[in-house]
Amino acid sequence: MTQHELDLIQGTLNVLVLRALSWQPMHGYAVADFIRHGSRGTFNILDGALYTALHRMEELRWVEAEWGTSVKGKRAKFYSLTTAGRRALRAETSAWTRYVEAVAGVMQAKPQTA
Amino acid sequence: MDPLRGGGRRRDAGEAADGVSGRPTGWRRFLRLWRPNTEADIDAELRFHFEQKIADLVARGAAPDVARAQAVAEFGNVAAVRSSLREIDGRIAKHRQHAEWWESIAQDLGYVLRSLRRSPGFTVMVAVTLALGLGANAALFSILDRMFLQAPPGVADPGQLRRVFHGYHDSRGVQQILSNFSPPEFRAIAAALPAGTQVAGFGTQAKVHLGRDDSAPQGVVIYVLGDYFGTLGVRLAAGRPFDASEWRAEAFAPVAVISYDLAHDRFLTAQNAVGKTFEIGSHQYTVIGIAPKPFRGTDLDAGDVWVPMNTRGTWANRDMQWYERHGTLFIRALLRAHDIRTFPAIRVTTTVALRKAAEIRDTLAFATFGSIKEAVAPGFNVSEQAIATRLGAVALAILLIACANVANLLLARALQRRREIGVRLALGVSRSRLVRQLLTESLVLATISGLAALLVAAWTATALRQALLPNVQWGAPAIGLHAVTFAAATAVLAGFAAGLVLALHASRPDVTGVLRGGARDGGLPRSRVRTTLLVSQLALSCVLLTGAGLFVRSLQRVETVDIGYDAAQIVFAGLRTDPELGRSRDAELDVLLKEAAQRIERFPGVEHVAFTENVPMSAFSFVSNFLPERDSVPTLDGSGPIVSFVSPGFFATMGMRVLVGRDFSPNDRTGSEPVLLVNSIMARTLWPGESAIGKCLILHKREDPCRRIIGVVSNSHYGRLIERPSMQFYVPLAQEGDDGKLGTVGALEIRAAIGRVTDVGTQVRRLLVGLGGTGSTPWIRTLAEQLSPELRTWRLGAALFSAAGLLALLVAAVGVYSTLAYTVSQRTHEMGVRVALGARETHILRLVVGEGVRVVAVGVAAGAVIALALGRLVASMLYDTSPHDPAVLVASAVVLLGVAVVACLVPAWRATRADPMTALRAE
Repeated sequence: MTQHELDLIQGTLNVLVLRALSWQPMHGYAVADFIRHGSRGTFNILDGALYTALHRMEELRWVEAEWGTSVKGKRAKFYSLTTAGRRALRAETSAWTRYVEAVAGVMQAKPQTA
Repeated sequence: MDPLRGGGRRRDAGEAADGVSGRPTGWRRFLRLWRPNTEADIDAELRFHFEQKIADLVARGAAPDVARAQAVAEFGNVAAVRSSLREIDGRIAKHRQHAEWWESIAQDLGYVLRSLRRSPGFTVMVAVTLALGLGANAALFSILDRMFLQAPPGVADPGQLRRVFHGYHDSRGVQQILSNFSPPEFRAIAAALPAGTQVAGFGTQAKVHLGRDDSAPQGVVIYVLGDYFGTLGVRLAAGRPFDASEWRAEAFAPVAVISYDLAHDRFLTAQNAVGKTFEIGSHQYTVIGIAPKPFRGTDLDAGDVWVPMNTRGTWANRDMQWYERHGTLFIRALLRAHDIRTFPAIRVTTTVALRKAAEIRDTLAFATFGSIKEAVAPGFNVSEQAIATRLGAVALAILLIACANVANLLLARALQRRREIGVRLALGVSRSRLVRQLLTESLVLATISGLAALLVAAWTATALRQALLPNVQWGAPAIGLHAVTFAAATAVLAGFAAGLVLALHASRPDVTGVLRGGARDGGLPRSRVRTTLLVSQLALSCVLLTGAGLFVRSLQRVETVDIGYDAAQIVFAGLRTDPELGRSRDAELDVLLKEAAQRIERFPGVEHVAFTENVPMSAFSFVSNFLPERDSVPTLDGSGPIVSFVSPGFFATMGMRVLVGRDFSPNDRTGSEPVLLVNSIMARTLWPGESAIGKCLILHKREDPCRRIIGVVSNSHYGRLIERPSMQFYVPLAQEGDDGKLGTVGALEIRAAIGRVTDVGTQVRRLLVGLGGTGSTPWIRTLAEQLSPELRTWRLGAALFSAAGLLALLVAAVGVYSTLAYTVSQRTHEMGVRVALGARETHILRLVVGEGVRVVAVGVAAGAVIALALGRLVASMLYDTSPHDPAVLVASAVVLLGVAVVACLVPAWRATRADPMTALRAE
């Protein structure tokens, strides 16, 4: 893989996690579940990468972590978006949209003859 | 054992599900507030993930084994993820800790500032006390720094430079150091120096009018011999330094290098000044170079102008007479060796050369090298040096007193607040946090005081500089970076010192005791620390007061020193002339001044007029002298007799008395029998037990005729206010020459009636301006003016030490007051009970004052002992005053006790107001 593809994947994972958390505070397992179900199993993201991303975002202060109790009454670490996280989500979403449109544009374009 | 825990060991994730640990999560969460446990948190988070995932898979129908395997597979490398999470969380934890730390500091600061604002009286008291102590220190530091620590500004490689000094042993075998050489000595030293060394001589004359007449501003002129600027490595700001054709002794080049400031004052810019001319008296100089801004010579007196030595106005310039004179010492020698290891060898060479050249004094002379920093070199005006260093100690003592006082005030406040402290401890505030808060408080106070201190210092340093060393080139503002750093460092140290005492003391009250006892007897015994602080503060104050007393006493004695002249009545006058303008000093000036003397005699308010070659108390000369039929003339302290060439009437004018024999008369002239008068010390030393009248003394060369002594006059000083007794003899000016040449008049002495000195001075000036015409400048000064710089040192010592003593007294009074006021407020209950039981006002007063006075008495007694022990340190700075002067000791003790009693009275009076009802109701 080239560096470019790595960046793409990293960025994609971030935007997916932020999007997941934009609905409500979640623990890591719920985020993984959200992405897996949302993509209908298309993405094969390792759970470990997800946790790494979550902790990095905590360091960036995009998300805040707090210990709480899961639905089943177990102690779990819940992540929620901060203001900075919401701002990041907006920026990443628009970048992602532009990217998708650009790819789509290229895919639909036909060669132009001079 | 937690299965997923452990340094990267891979475990089957399935175990996690089984081993749901019984770890109490509640207290862990609580603990995290203090000590984040990242490792355990990661474990818990991952364990939850695996438990949840496996449970979900099993619920969807997977076998437990399969579910476990799938969970692990979908996670990735557990160990790698765990270690990267640990890394990230470590960073997060660290950031959080920093943030929390800053936050708690901000909290402490806020708390401290609020509580200080609530008690402004206390804050001001502490700030003022500390500001005075710190300010005095910063101000003195700025002075000591310039005097002792820094090399003269503008000089290159000061490490290679030395001043050469002239050492000898006096008749009692005591080593003496002279800082000046005679021209022949300097010449001999310069000739003997090896290659790789540079030498230059200079002489300084202060208060020279830099202009044509007396109205021109005064400055310091430095006369230069040899390659002065080259030796010092000074690179001029503009123009060029002297070249060999100018700085050689024989050269007569009226050229000058002037200071940067002078160039700007006179000629606006340095560049513009080069090539211009200006006058010193009637001498015209061409400016050839401008010194760099910081450079003002090597001594503390800041030089304004440098000129070649042979152009010095009062000398007989072209004829080079001064260059051959042995008796006059005025050249200071600077030496640069490019290899400093050669200094010992050079010293030997120099000593050999010096011994050959020093014809008149002894053959045991030696050369010695000293620092070019004037204040640390031997022979520096010792009293000013001593005052400066002693003042440093005094300033430190004041700071200590201030610190003790502040600690005491802080402590009193902390004790008042001990209920609050008790409550906070009970609420779970940790002791370390409490100590930190107390330290923060004292540091905040120190900062406030430090800022106030800079104001105090900026003001006092300027005043001190003016007072202590008015002519010094400081090269930096009064409060520079050094002084600010010093003030900041001492402020922080003082803050810590005061705060630490307090923190150690106040952070361990018995919580329950405090809470139970209410505001009255909170379980703290009466403080021994506070008493100790008060006692040491009083002791130091007593020492400083005693010091002040000693200096004042010494000043009184100096002011009444009898120098042998009627100082209040004497005016000196003369003319400075310029041979370049066609005026011959020898002939015409002599006639002019003699004529002036005759006219001045008839002025109203003038009692006598005389004239001499030298100005008394300003210059003095030696002449080779021999006794017939004796090998050598006895000396006093290694120095031979001093000679003065005087006119008839000199003794009457100066207020000296002819004790035996007769005064000079106008008939003692060339051609008549050569005669002398000696002072009584000389008569006693040379002819003990005999009459000196009729004895004779040979001057200059042994084969010259013997001069008969016709009288003995009263003793007088020759140079300084305080000096050793000296042998002196007097030669009629009209008989001076031994080679047919007559001595010339250099100065007039005029005795004015009491109170007429100023008036006579004005008349004389008017006369001399008229008489002298163009090409000459009159000068007038009184003997009192001439003596005042010397008296200044003594006055200064007395003034500064008195100020320090008063400051200490004030601070001590505040200390006594605050301590006692606190004690009384704590004993309101007891006082109330006493009043209720019928105690009279006087009883209460006596009780409280008595308690205060007991502490003060201990402090004063301790101070007296210390003062006695330290006395010898100031002994050298006192004149005719014992450092153990009992009157001074008693006086300072009485003053301190008196002030302490007054300070006790206010709280004592308050104690008598204690209302029994209020006191008892507070129970």
